[in-house]
Amino acid sequence: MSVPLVPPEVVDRIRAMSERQLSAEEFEAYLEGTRSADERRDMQEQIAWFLRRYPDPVDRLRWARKTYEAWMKTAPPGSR
Amino acid sequence: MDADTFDESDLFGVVQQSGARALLFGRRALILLGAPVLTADYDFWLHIDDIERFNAAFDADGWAADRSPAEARAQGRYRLENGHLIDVLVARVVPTVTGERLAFDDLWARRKQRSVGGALVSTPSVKDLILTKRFASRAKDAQDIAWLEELVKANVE
Repeated sequence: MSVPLVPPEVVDRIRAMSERQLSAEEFEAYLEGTRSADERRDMQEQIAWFLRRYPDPVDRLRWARKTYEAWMKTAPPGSR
Repeated sequence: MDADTFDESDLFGVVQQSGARALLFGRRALILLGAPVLTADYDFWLHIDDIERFNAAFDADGWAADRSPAEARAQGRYRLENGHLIDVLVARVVPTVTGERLAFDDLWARRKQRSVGGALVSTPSVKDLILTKRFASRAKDAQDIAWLEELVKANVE
């Protein structure tokens, strides 16, 4: 099964949203309003998994590098 | 250590051997602490007087700086590259979006030392890492603050 590519213009739009510098008011509002209880629980579960799976910090860093490199090989052209 | 043979323990060994006052911050610091996030590069905040010794250690290891130490001091930042990328911040003081002024010397005094792959790595305290995420105040920085706050709740310091 092939994964449909995200169009480059969508990648550009997402990157622009993520990289845009927010005003102090926008930033505080983002901090206040972004996390539901479910999101916080999900983050806690991911942290617990990561620390359990890779108790040595150097292995966590290696996982991140290799995962990023693997992701880049399949990422749509605009995201490279 | 070229792009093909890159390993994190080698990288931190070079930083330690340089003797430079260098703080690992940015997303790699979050990963080190326990947040499963991804990023393309490394970020170090380096004491402005230690650029030469930091570069000398990396130069011997095949990395190249994209500007001279004088240019880096004038610009407040530079990059080291060898197929991988290290962003180096060298400002003495950086303001946050809410007007606080973070000084390298203060973060260095409060630094945490962590053993990573046989080397000692200095990072800002988690509280200071949260403040550094207010430098650029992008949406993704707010997300990283959320991760750091959850790390605190998980008793990661």
